[in-house]
Amino acid sequence: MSNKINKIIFSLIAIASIGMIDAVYLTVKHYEGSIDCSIISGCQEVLGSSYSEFMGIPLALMGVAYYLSIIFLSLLFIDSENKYALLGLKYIPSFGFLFSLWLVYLQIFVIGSICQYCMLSALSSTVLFVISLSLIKKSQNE
Amino acid sequence: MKHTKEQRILFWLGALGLLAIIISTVIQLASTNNVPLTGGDTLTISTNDRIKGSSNAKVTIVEYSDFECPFCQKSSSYMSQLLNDYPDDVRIVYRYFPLTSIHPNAYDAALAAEAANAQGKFWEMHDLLFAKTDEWTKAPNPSTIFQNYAEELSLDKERFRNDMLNKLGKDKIESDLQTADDLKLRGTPSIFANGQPIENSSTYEGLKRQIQTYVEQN
Repeated sequence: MSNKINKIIFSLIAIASIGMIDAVYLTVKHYEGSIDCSIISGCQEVLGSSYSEFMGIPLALMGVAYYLSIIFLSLLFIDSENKYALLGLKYIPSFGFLFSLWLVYLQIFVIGSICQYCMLSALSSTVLFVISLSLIKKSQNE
Repeated sequence: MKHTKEQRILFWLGALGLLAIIISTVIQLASTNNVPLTGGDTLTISTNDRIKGSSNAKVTIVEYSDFECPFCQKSSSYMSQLLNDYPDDVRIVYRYFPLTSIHPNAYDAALAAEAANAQGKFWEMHDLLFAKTDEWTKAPNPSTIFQNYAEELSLDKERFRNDMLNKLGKDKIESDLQTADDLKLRGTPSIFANGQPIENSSTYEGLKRQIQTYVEQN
């Protein structure tokens, strides 16, 4: 495993950890339900909307699963250089990115409220996507 | 580079353990609610407050509220219920905490309540604003709607209109916002009973139980 790929994998873990912490926080807030209007705008509206769940599963929880899977695949690759793990790390973030785009669209144009914590998750998944592109490029050069 | 079996086990245990610690810490931090500071001088009631109930009441409830916040709407109905259930023991103080960043019409609604207060009908306007949120919260310019409410309450419409235009209530609203800031309030409704924060007011029963203990203490 080249040093460059190693660095990329570690940056994936770092960003996915931020995303995971954020998503865990959102999941807790989702299940708590809101009891007030917060000065920190928008999250109640977004987390309380019908778009916050898909088939009964909170999107925030899916976010946790997504970030955990990136972390897990990264660890797997560090441990065993498993080629399927690498394959996953290259292409799974694209889906995460597209999904995030959709969620940002929903917040701005459908729900009409912005939740900063959801935007942080969108940002993490965008960064993951960019890193995954460089991973694709680097491993082609190998 | 090949790792020994022990190293690999240690690697996974360490990584998964760290993940578990991070996740459980975040869950714990996320579920602790921000408890506002206790009263002090900021919760001392003055003649400049909007008060309902007996001046000899054992329990003074101060509520920081936003007319556009649906949870405040619910909470205001709880307040009326409390006044019904404890007519001699409880009084309610309404303080303005319009969350202008998320509620574009909340500040104007507060101004409308103050304009009504100038004509002695704060609580009537308060009730009407909460009763008709559907009508005015989404309106691009709610002033005319508020003027109709003034008419409905038989207020001097012209005076009401001028008081709103001149932002008569601005000083009062700003001073309430300042005390809310001093108390480090994070949202609405924020409720205090005799200067102590009420932590859970999501159900009437829960709120009443807490108020009951204050009534018994005094």
